[in-house]
Amino acid sequence: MASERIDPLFFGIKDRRLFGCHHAPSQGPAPKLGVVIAPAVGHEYSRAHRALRQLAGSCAVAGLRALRFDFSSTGDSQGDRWPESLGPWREDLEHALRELASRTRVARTALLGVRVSASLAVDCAARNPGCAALVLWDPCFDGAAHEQSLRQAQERFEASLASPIRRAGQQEAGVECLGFHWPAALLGELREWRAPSFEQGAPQRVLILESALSPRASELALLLGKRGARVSHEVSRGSQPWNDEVDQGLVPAVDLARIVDFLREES
Amino acid sequence: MVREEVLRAGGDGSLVGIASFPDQPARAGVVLLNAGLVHRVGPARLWVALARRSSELGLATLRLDFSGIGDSPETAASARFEARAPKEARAGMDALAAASGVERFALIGLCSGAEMAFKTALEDPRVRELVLINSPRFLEEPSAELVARLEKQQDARYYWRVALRNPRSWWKALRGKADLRAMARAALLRVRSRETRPAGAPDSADARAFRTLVQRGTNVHLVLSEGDWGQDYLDAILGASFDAGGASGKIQRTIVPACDHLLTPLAAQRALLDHVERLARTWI
Repeated sequence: MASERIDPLFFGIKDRRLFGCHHAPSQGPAPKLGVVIAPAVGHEYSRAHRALRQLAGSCAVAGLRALRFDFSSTGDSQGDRWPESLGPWREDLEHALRELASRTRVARTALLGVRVSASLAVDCAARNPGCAALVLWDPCFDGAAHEQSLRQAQERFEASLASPIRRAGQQEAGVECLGFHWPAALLGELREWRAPSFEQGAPQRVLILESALSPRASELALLLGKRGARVSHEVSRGSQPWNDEVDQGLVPAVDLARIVDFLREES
Repeated sequence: MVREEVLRAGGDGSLVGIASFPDQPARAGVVLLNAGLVHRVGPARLWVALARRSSELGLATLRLDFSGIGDSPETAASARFEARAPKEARAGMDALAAASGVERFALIGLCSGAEMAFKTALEDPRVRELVLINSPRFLEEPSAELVARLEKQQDARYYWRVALRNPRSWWKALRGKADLRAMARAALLRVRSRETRPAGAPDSADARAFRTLVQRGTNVHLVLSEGDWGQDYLDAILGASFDAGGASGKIQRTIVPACDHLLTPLAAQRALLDHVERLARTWI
């Protein structure tokens, strides 16, 4: 049975070293397609980690290359404070794409974004028209709704504590949600985020998997279709691991299989 | 400036960790173990912050993934997690020692990671410091009777600290949707438990293990979230003598207020970071 080979490493530029993990088939012909997997952020990062780890492994077993990486100031990557804008994370995704292309020499690349990073993957795909495929897994295209869900999650959490949290001193502008500080300016950019026009060209194929089909994703699907992409906009059939604690979440095998099948068609 | 590298551990190098090195020769090593199934970044990335702060003080650190967690693949070995995790933690210590030259270690763990740190320390005298955060148990599986008693105390604490002070609970009670008797029983138990000091279980394997560590000179720093099950469990096994600064101050307990089992609130994270930094200054 085919298996995977994994190679964890740091890459990127000075003062912004990013952690990544390459997954490759342990045998067989050199993969033609490589996919960059951009993780969720905040409390959803750890909750989705196992699923994305398994997704990368499944890609490798299916004969693809995969690079999972952590945005700066998240996971194992350098930095401790989240950026005030999406700009640095957009650059990180570009670095990851270059790292995959230079290290593996795959003929074609694909991008996968989960939750908030789906917006970054859309931006990156628009700037890299050579990107063969784009996968958007339960994207948070509605920044205002996402911010509201962060606030509600924190309220529910604080109501469960034995005593109220005492916040000393002046608080930074933004939202505290389940152990992470979302800067106000970053949230503002997410609220203002709109899909780019893809004037330079769109990926050849796009898969949008959502827990419930949303108007914003439908608009994007329509736009990408007009730009010549073959778009599949589907309701995911598995659970959303980012909704559960790490010890309780299930890996949605059915959705991983759908994503791998979609990418394998491209290879 | 802290330097970070991927560090492989274990005989076949399959265990994956991230090591942080200070810019001068390290004075001691710190190994952070998985908190349950959370991979090596720790809950809310707390292990990353702890490792970096420790390395800034002059300590070499390793955030290690046990096999089957994070980027460390499942092992073919059939041993249960409880049996193999201490061996893997020791393999992590070996790798960090080889990479940095350190000879003595602090182990830090939360939840099951704390339990594994405790077991590792009993096997390996290189462990001089233990930071055990919300350990659900130590050596022994608590008896069904003890679990039932501790769960009652947990319920009592919930009713006392949360439900009885929440207007919504009273509204539910008035509409017959809350168990008033259970609330009253819980409140009574809470009052009684505050009047009686637990005697502990000095002959238990857990208590003996704590004494072994203390006699060997290992400092044990217990960190507990306010209201965590571990508070009652510690009282049950170590008893009131613990509070009296027993074991010559080698066992110390710190309570972090207003937080959950994983120390999720930013204020709780800062409290833990500051606490461990104070401890780490004594390790260098």
